[in-house]
Amino acid sequence: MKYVFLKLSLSALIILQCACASVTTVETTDKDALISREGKNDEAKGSLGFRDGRPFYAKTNLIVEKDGCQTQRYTVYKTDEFHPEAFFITLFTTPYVGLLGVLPLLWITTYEKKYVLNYTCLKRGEK
Amino acid sequence: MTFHRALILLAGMTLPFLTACTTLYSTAPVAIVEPPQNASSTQAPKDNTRVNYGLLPAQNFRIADDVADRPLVVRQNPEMVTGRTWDFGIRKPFSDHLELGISGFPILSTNLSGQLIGMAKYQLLGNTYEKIQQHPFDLAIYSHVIFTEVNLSGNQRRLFGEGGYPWNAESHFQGVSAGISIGKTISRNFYIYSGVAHQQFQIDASVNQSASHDGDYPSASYQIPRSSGTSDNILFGFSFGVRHQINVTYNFSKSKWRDLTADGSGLNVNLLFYEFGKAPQTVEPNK
Repeated sequence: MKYVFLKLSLSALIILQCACASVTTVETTDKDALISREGKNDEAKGSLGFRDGRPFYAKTNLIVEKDGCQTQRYTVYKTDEFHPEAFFITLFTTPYVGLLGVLPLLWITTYEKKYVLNYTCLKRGEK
Repeated sequence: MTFHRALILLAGMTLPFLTACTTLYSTAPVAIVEPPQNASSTQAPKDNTRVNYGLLPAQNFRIADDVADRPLVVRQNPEMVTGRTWDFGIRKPFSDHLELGISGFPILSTNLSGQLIGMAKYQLLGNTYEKIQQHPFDLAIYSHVIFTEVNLSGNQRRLFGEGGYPWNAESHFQGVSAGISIGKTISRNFYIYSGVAHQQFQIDASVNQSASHDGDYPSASYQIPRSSGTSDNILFGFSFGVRHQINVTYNFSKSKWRDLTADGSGLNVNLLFYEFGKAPQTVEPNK
């Protein structure tokens, strides 16, 4: 039971740091198109930034809409990029908190910092 | 795991940390194997400098146990062991095919010591930035020059002895290596490769002991003559990531020096960071 508070604090810090690090921006090639995240309330025209604290296996579905054009869907994956912060945190905290220290490996991959959604307006009914 | 065990584990990754401060040694990477894709041919930012940090398989040559000892006893049976050494540097593409790099690391616990590595890699076959996925595999040749200098000094008569006996010692390692590697892009962020390399090197050393302050020992100078050796290395590995890459490799090495042979094998981790540019991934609509 020694250092329980310290270990819990460090573990909380590890999870917080890893979860908070996943920030990404998506842009469309058409700046007038509206981007939104499926199942979320956020939307923006041309460019959308969002934060995702879920572990490495998460993915985000994106919807791009424009008046008079077909709605198009895109998917970005959290396995797209290596996440060095999670690697370093694991390396340096495992000796202090034991197995808890490997928790950041759940965030070992992340989104890329920026995505460009290739959007071309297809008129409704057009294939 | 206790804090001290963790510290020892980290320190053990680089052999010089564990060497006594009066032990004369030389340490350097074995023949280095490079991934065949150079920076300009990956899907990371084109013409981008990247920073690398990691561990290299290394060889350590123990020349004298206690250079403070008077008179000096040079090891009649020098030792050679394999291990790991840190590597930190930058590499920059100069065309779609040519990449140059420089790296090194100061050797802690000694004064003004360290290693310096120069690298040139030429990609003969494989993806270029403009023509991605045009070849089924990548092929590159590369060469490294390695300089290591270890400087030691003190004023003792022997290890943990009394003061008043100033001395300094230095060792030099010069090596040149060449190799070839082959790799394949599995997906945008996953790459596998394998390669071999051969290295020729030379080691020399000297010890200078000044006259003791109370005059009971005269000055003396010792030269350890230059000797040659070779090392061979074969490596298998993968890299993951685009803008930040982690290389995980496993190597088998054989070093020969004088009449000694040392075999080494183990896991190496190397990190590459493209910090000076942005290459947003273009995402196509779902089918």
